[in-house]
Amino acid sequence: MHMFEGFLSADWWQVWLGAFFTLAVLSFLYKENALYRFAEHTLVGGYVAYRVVILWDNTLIPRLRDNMVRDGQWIYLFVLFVGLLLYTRYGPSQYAWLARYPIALNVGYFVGLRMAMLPRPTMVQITAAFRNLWVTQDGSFVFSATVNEWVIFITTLTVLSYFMFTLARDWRPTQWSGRLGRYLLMVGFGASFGNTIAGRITLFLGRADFLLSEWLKIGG
Amino acid sequence: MSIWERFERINPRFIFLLMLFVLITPMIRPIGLPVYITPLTQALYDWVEDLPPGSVVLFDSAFAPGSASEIEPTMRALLHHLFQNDHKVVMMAQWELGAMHSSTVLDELAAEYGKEYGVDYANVGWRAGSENWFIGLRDDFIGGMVGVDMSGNDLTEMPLTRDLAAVRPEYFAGVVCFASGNPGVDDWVTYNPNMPLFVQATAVQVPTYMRFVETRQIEALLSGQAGGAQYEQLVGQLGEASRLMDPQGAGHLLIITLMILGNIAFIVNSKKRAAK
Repeated sequence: MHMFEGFLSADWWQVWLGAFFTLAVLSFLYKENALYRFAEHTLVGGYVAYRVVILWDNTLIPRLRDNMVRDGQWIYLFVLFVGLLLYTRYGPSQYAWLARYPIALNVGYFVGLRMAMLPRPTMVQITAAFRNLWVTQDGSFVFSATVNEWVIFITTLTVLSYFMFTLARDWRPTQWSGRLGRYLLMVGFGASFGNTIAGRITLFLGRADFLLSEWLKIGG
Repeated sequence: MSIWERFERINPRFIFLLMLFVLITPMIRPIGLPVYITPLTQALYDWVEDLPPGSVVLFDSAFAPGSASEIEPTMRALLHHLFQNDHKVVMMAQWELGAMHSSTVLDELAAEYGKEYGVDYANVGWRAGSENWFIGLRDDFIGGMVGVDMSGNDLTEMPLTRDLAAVRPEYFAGVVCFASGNPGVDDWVTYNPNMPLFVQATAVQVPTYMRFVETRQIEALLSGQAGGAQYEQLVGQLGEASRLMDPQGAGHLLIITLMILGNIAFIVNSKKRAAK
């Protein structure tokens, strides 16, 4: 098997275009160049076109054809009218204020929704912050689990104290607690950074694997 | 100029080249580094093992193809596992591009196991409406999907989907969310907290989701490519993730080495500058 197998077939084009755009984007690591910009603009253009098709197929057509024309749900005309008010911002300035109505409706709806739905998962997190600081199993003390509980307990308290800006900072206990909270936050950032590296390497490996096995037909 | 001063001013392109060499070499000549199974990966495997035969598992593709190298290996390995144990899979998507990408994986694995569409698996895809659509599925799954699957087939005519009235534990054994951002895991935790939730996330998302594991809002959490490699080992279907764990390990080793050297260079050069 070699890289020119199935020359000019649909699969061949797919692999070669994939390889071309992968290399074009990676060329940015050397420096900004025309090939990279071409790949970037192609991606943006392609995605915008894709979104237009998605919007047309999944939102406009079902509402216009199915809900309104077929099912006679003409209430959607009112919704359409309210939505179109957003564009009054681009018309004569004396009508621009009308754009605030759809925005206000949207903001009001989502504030209400979040206020209704968010307390539950948040309360679950808060109750989980109450820890068992003396872990036993079958009547005997479990040291490692107890240490874990204490780490979570101390981290929660000290990190919270770091963000309590109304506490007096000239009091030694709040100074120490805030400082420890800051260090523990750094540990958290380090864990996030490590995972980010893992993710970025995987992204590159995915493309490298594609170039080697599907384009150059090496290994795999 | 000392070696540490040179190191501090090194052209980043040399580091890119070094990284390229370190990543590509083990891809061509594998080392065979061991892969350890974490309890959070084992939890997903054990859950599938304990499912009663013919259980319906809901997949949620909440990722874009850009993250496929992190997400897809687990999806493949999990499909192997589910189809081997004669379970059924319904795939939905919170990301429209996720729906497109995942459907190829689902079709490929279903064909490999001779599974019949509409009986053993179905793909209902993505719908517009974001959170409103998602919340609606909790009460009316078929209505929320406008009554059709991704190809326009009537959901009420397919044996697998006709009785799936809502996204609730009575109808689905659980949901596996393949997530690379929002919308995704937070929507399940917030809007449908009663569904048993299992997550394969991109590595960068994992620290954010760990808090849900502690509270059992997530039952199992698999991290990026490593999670995929672990699940491949458990199922005995070694694939892309297992193959790419060698370069992954080598890349991490290089970055750790560079960070240590960079810090030594910083300390040495700072002391020199202070002495001047």
